[in-house]
Amino acid sequence: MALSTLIDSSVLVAAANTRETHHLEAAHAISSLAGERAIIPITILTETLGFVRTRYGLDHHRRLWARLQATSFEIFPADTSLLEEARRIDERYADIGYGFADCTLLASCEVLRTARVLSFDRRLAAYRPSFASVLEVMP
Amino acid sequence: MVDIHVRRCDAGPAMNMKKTMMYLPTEMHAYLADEAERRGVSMAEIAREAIAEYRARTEQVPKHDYTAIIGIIDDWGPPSNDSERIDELLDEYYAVGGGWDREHGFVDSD
Repeated sequence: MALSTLIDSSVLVAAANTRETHHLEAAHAISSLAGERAIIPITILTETLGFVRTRYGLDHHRRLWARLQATSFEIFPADTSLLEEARRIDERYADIGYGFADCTLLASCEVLRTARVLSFDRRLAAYRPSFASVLEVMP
Repeated sequence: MVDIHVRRCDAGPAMNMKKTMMYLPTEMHAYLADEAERRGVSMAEIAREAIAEYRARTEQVPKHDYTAIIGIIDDWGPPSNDSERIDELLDEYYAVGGGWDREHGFVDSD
């Protein structure tokens, strides 16, 4: 069974934008997923595309959107149960203040039983999955 | 059927081209000849354009190639760490008087 990895907005943006200080690191991390399942929660996709539109303009927003859909990134939907799980995570980790997108990312980890995340947000490593000893936050 | 030699008289190996030959139905050949005459270009030129258009239309990013997103934002400027500040930058954009307000005319002009 192929390894599964969830992808956060920070890595998507850094991989897409060549002038990001983490660009090469993100590009290498994305490249290393070949043959594995790379999953983007719909909430993270929304955050990423929204950010790209506000920061880099509609043209880049459309290009990234088209590329993301042309490749085999899996888009993981958010239903009521996932949002409830996200809210429980938000309450449990209130001191960290993950926010909506991060909480739904972590809830997606729970639903998919995936303990690997590509993100530059080191705060995610504080999360303790119910099904694994640690959440592996890379690169 | 009519055979067509696809080459340019004004280009040779130095232009990194290879000579080839293909068979075309008579009607297609007549169309190609008429179109070349009308536009004042060679038949080979039109064949090359047609192949390039076909390629662009049918060539797709291979599945399982996540690298297709890498470097597609060609945002010229100094190095940035936007990717580490997405929450913060979105907060600024949607704050009262921020980018969203400005773009939508909600900023007081006084």
